[in-house]
Amino acid sequence: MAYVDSLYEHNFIEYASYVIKERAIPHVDDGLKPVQRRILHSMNEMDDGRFHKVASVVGHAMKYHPHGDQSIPSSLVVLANRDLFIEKQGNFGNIFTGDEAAAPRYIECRLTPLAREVLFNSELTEFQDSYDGRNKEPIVFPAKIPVLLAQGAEGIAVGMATRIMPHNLIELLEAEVAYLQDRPFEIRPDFPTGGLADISDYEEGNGKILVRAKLDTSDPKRILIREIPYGTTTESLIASIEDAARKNKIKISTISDFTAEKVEIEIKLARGTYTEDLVDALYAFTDCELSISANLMLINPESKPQVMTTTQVLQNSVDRLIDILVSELRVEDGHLRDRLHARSLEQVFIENRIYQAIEEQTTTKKVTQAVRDGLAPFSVLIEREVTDDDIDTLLKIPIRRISLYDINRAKKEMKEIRSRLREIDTHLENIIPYATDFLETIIAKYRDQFPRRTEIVSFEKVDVREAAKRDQTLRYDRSSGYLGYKVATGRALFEVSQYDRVLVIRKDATYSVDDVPDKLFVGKGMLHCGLVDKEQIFNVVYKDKNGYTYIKRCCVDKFILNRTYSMMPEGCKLIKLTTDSERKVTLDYKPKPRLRVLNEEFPISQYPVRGLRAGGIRLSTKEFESCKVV
Amino acid sequence: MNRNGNGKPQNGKPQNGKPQNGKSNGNSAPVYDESKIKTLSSLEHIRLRTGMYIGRLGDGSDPDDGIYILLKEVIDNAVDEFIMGHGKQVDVAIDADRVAVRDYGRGIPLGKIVECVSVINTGAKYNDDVFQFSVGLNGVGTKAVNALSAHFRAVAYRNGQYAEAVFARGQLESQTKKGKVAGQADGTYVEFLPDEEIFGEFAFNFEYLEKRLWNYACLNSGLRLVLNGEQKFESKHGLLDLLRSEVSDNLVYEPAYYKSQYLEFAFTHIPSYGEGYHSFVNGQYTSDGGTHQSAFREGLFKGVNEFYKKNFNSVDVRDGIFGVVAVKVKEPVFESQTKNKLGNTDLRGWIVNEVREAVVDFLHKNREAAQRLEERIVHNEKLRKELNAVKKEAKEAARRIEIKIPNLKDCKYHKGDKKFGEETTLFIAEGQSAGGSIISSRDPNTQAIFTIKGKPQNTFNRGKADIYKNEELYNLMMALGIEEEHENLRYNRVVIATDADVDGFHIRNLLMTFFLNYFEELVVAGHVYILETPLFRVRNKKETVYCYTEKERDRALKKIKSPEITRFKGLGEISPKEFEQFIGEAMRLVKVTVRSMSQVPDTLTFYMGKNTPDRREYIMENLV
Repeated sequence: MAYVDSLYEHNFIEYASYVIKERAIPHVDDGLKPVQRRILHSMNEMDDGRFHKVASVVGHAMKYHPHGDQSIPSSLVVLANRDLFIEKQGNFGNIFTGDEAAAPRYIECRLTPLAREVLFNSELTEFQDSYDGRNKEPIVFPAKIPVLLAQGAEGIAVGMATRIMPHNLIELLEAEVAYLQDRPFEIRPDFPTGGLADISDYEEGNGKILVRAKLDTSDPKRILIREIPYGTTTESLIASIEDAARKNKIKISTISDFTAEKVEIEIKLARGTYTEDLVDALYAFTDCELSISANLMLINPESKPQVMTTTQVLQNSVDRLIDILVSELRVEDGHLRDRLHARSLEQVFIENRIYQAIEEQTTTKKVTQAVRDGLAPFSVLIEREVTDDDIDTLLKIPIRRISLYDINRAKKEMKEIRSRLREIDTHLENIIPYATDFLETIIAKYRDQFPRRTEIVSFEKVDVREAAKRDQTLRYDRSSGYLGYKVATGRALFEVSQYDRVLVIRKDATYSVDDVPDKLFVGKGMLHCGLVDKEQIFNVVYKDKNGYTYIKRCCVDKFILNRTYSMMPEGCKLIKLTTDSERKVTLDYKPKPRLRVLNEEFPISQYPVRGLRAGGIRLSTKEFESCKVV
Repeated sequence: MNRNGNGKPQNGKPQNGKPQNGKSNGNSAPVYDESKIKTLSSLEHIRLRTGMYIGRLGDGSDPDDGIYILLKEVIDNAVDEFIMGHGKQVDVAIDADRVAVRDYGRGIPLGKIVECVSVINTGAKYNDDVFQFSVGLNGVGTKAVNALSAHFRAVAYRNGQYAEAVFARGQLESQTKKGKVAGQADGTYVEFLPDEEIFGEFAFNFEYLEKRLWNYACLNSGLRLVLNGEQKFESKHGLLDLLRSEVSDNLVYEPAYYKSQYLEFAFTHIPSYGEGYHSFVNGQYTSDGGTHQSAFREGLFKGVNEFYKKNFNSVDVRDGIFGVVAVKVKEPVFESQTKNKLGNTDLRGWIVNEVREAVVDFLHKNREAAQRLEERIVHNEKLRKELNAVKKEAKEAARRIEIKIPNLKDCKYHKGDKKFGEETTLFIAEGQSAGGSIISSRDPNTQAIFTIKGKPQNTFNRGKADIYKNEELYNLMMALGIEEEHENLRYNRVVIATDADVDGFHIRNLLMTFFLNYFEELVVAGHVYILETPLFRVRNKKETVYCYTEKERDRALKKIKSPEITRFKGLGEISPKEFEQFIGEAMRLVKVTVRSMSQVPDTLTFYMGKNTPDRREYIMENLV
């Protein structure tokens, strides 16, 4: 028996943890999700320089990936289309048109030289048991480049999701160099589809970016889309344009997709419309401009989900790079020392004909001992303590090699090893320059392969309101109290479009901002109606319950659409509302004994402009008979 | 009271007498000759054919019984005076069965008092200048009251003079043609005692009376009606007051109210369903509606659609509405004798238009009401569509599974059968690969298998209609036999048999959600289980042990020499022969139980609902 809530809890947390850690969210160190890592690991295991069928890679990856076999090929195709680690042969689909890849049995793949260079090193990789315990799979790859930022990632887990933009690899590596040298750097997204992007709100991977199609507007009657915004395909982009045209938001005559190797969508304009009129509307009403929310959620080195900034990810990558380089050097150092030891033993063993001592020995034990005794006088020449294994190795040297032993060659080899060991020491002592060198080599080698594709620009988001044509007349009928562009009677106020917003101040000094109304009841005696202008100053003169006069100056700069607010505190009575700050308020006081000044003027502009919610400023404490704004 | 051209001419028609003659004798047929033709006097006719004038007779236990109609006829005349601007008060007194009504209008012209109350087709209401928009147009009402009363007395006061006439059963008893009286304001006094010969034993029910008087008050704001000198009925806001007194306080929005010269209405929506109206013509309550009511409904519907610029269905607009409408019509035509239903067809156009405009105006001026109304309409629409969808889907779905429920491998016995009923079990298996193993190893008498493909839909917060849209869940419901009633469950145990991996856990949650959302009774009654399957097999050549936990595995490892361990990932890995023991005698089941039903919604919302910051935090903290 089990209670529903505890069952839910157990099932939920197991599933959520798994999806977060093992499925949807990439790891900060190598930028990969488990299925991607398993694919690359399989490809590395199978790597013999030739192309392999994707189907066969998928089969291999299933040793590590305990799920349905449909998810692997599509992951492989996505990974391959990032053009970083997988070289493609055959139809891998088209990221521009959205066409799908051919079936796994047709297409082939192999690792790129870059992948071999920066991703794998089995000696530095920590492995874990695969799901069935029969194989070992890497926990993370010792990646020497910031894969996560270079590739980007998208994934929806339970309770959280990730959306990481792709960046330009060369720029990232240059940023790493800059970081190593304590110079400032900037990390800017770069999309494989090109286009334009405004990253002013990118907030290091957790903000918003605006992406736009690149339009060729040289012809006044024809617009060519040369590059599409990230997240669209020519197909989806055209659909959005068609949709806008159908809703009469833009006027076009035809649209055709001439995309081949490069994107080319041709929009022919309708009679009477010209390119310059349409560009803003395309950005405003179609997917030619999109806003993308980035969310840099990842699995951190402690295997926990975490939101990081691009800078943190880059720093982590550099720190990892240094660790990896140090480990690599140490590993090489170890290998070299082993070799040196072996060579020196060999040299002593052969030069001094120690092998002769074993001829008379009858047991293995005695043979070993004889060699050990023979070596003993030369211990100075030998790098370290001689083990039984060492002796065993010596004993296995073929006689042929002993006869042909070239002393000079052996000496030369040992000299080389020693010099390399010194070099390694220098590198280890100067690891920062060494890492810089490493990065610069990669940059030089691959610069041409990874040009920037997306142009970073700064653009105002096209305001739908500005793109639309003002072709309706807003009217206010004083007698019925209706305001709107469908109101046929009354006074014409100004021209509006359906996307405009108007600020209406009613007789009782309450105001609201509404979408342009077709017909809205505002009551009689409307005080103000105008398009929203957040800098317009309103001067409100009012009287409170005690009869004192106040002036309040404010701008309507914050509001929720369709909500009614008041310009003055509750219980007050409006005397005058004006937008003319050059005017004056005059008060005529009630005549009273000893009251000399019976009339006072207060220039409006002398009072400060304050917030909407602030109270007004009291003009005078004296009782007054009349108040005017002149 | 009668419609011209319907009641009267019938009077002279010979066939009226026919049936009486026909049934009197079988052998010697009665002679049908001139002597059989009768002409009744008007008053005689009223007494003989009462129904034609006042509808039913009754004894006062129904609000439409004749005695109330008598009262109504008299008050109508009093109110007509008020409508024409004479007299603001009407006194009504009921003492046992005797009724007295006094108005303070102009008073019947003294010289014509007898004619006015006893000679049919006499009156001033044929004259538009003196009476507009009155109900009693035909000069019949008071005469009918007179004819049907054992005692009837009318007094008219004008300028300190009065005239009086007293009748019994329509026959003049005494009369004062002109007399002087002091201290009596102008007006008319009518007193009558319904005739027991006609009505039998009767009694006035004061509740009905009060209601009628209140209606009069609301329909004529400014008029005060006083019952027995104590209870006052008066309304300031007219129909708005009537509406408020009809509906409870629980309104969807503050009622709309409109009044013009000829039309007055008020409406609001109330939380219940259906529609309700009170409609009046010239103050006459039309319980069966008629053209004015249908025009009001139409105008309201048009106005709503015009305001929202939508194409709402009229049913959705009106569901839950309560409306009161009163019109003034110069020549009302009723479809029935008792004026329950208005028949004027010329009204429709202008009422529809005026109502439409008024509704649009109201909605413009009352944003909050407009918003609430729209919410209500959308809610109505959703509900109706859902209901329709359910009906339609249910029909189609039922046809699909008529012969056999897909994905179900049934067993021979079911819950409720005497034999094996207790043991009947349905396994809900994840995927064909798992289902296959169970099928070959099951006991076909008691063990049935339903296979689902992949992950079922998350049914959290879904309506019942969604079951019908999802073939898999529908089939599951039908396999269980619980579409109508959970009592009909076909298996004693419903066992969720998913893999013991994370996706299996997820499916368990999805299926539990399905049960808790739609069929919580099954869970409460303890019919739902989860099948535990072994995680490991530890074996050597001689011995095999299946382990359900890591502890069990470690214990087994110690016991068995040179063991080989297999981690079961999916149920499909277990071969049918092995499976027998997992669903046989030694089957390990976990019963799903509810700690407290009130917690379930919270649990479901948290785990199966939308992403919340709380949940995210919870995941972060508890991640395994």
